[in-house]
Amino acid sequence: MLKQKVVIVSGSSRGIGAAIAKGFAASGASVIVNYRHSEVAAREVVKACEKVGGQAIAVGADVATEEGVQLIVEETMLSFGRVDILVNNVFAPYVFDAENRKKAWEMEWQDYKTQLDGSLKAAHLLVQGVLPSMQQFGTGSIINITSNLVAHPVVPYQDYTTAKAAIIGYTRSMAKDLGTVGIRMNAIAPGLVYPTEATKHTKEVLKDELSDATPLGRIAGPDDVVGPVLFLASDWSRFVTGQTIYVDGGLVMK
Amino acid sequence: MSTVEYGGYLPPKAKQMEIKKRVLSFKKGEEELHIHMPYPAPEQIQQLGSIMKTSAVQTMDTTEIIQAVSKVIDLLLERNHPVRIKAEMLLPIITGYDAEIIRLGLTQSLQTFREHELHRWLAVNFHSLSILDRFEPLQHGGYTKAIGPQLTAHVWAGNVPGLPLWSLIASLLVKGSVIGKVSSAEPFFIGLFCEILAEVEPRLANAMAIVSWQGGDSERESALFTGADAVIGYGTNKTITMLQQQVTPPAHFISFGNKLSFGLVHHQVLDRQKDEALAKQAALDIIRYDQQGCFSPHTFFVEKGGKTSPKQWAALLARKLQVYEERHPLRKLSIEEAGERAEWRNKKEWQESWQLFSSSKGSWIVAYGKEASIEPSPLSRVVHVIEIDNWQDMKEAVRDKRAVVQTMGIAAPVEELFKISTRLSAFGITRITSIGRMTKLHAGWHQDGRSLMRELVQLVDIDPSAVSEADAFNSYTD
Repeated sequence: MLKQKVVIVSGSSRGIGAAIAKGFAASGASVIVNYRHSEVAAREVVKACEKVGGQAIAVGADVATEEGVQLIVEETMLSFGRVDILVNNVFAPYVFDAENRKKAWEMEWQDYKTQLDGSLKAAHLLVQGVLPSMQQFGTGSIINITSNLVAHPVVPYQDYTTAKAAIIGYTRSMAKDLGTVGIRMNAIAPGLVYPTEATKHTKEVLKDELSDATPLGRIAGPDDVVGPVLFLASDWSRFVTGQTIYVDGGLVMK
Repeated sequence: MSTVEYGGYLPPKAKQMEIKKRVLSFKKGEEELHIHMPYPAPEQIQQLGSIMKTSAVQTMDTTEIIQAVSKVIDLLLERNHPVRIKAEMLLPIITGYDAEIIRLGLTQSLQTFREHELHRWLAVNFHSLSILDRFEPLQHGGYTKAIGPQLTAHVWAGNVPGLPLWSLIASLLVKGSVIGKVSSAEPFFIGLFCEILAEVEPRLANAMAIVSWQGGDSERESALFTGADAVIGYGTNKTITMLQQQVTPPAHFISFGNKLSFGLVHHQVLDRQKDEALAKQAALDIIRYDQQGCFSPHTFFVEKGGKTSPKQWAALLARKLQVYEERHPLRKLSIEEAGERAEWRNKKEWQESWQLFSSSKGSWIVAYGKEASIEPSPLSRVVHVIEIDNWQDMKEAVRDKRAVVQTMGIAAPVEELFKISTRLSAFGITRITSIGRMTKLHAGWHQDGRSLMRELVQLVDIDPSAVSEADAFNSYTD
């Protein structure tokens, strides 16, 4: 169902993004693997994508900037001539360190701004960048990665969670306009995903607490996020838009 | 990706000996690792023994040895230390274990050798921490000093990283030099440890050698044992017997053979609140190093009469094993292991008294039955759950197993815990833990009911009379 589709996955040299890129490749899609600094890792992802039968290119670009987005869209059009699917996975570098996080009264506006730029601004710029191509073909699916922390802030990472909440509002209101031109937008809200670069130092005790509170008994791995993303990207979900799917083993039920 | 590493450890004194290397190769997925290990010829082993017999370790104070060891432990506990990073990267390739299991297991086992734990270990064994340094007074008069062997030979087995630390550190603490022959299944970590220890404390540099050869090489093994004052052997009963035949007096042979451990769940613990948490703890004991430790459970006996039946608990345990399979996948089994497992499974499936729960991939199996017996499981996440009326039924099962039983994990109210412990300790069980802690050792534990450190040393007494008589010979005596 995803054969021949062209997919941009922002921030896909590592972690969840890399897993999603490989998932698309395994389904026959052509994937744009985006990275900012980790070129070597991105090339590995491209290799892995090719190995499972998909096409892939790595594009180094900071998608929180207009120039970066222009570059990635141009590279995509040059290589594949269209964009069918966009996965907004990128977020500003963030270390989930529950023991050293800032508390509510320590927050500064810059903290929020960094996170909003890293996720909402990047999503906005990329969406605007790919819309012309999607509109041209009258179809498209955009998937934004948010977090279950928005519904259940187990550890209240203030800035990160606020920016991820913005993504949910963005998804809903965009879905309304985009629906009129045949483009769908949905969000995926994973729980704690381990191991990723951002969570590799998460303490065992927190992982255990979350696992114990989760009906399916464990925390997510990057691969757990792939299936729901592929579902939202494909025509299996052709009548679904503006939704947020929680991928956290049932920890949050909404 | 293919990597070459140099493992093992040779003392600076042996630099001129031109010891050959042998290469041990490992593969996990697409990653290949080739480790070059020191492979001394029989005469070189004897030579090593004689040059290592006198080493600066004998002149060090116990506290200095403790500080050196614990400094290395602290470095290795630091997750960003390059050596720790290297160990975390290579050990999964060597052993096949999941990287997270290795990471957590390393931290767990290294913690046991921190400075305060080493003090505890000595305190469990000796009435005074300085007893290895000088004659210490005894309460009833007289003085005692403990003398360790000058040279111990170690033959390690298995693939659990960190296990050789127990005998290595024990031997160093009693001020003996160590020549260790690693297991081909995990030859790497102990050499890495010795490398940093020698850097941290140069006085220990000539007290350690970590070498490798194919197990059963009797020429090399007897060369190793010739010069040693004590030989510590680990392995199957067959290996132990073979080693023992080559140890000649006056060398002291200490062996740790195959053991079998199991758990008991008391019916009072099986309510709807605790049943699941307990299944999780039991699953953890099973997945840690895939039951390869002597303390890993082969069987859980579960009493009837609780809110949750033994069979329901077996199903809960099965579910937890599945959850852990996703988080910490089983290592790839060797062809022999897979064969043994298939045979075991076939046999069980034909016996009507057993019901099997297993994953679709066969990565774990829970065999539920009612016949109170203890038999070894083929390991690697295969466990028996046996329904019993009452824990007293276990006595029959363990009656003739005295030589092989070791750890028993118990989940029971405290009064019952003591009752069960008292009764079953008479049947050869030497370690009782909670379920979920069976695989976690604490400093000073008595492996197989024995004290390694005490077995290594010889106590030298100064009789009270010697001191009182000597007093008469002082120049200042009136």
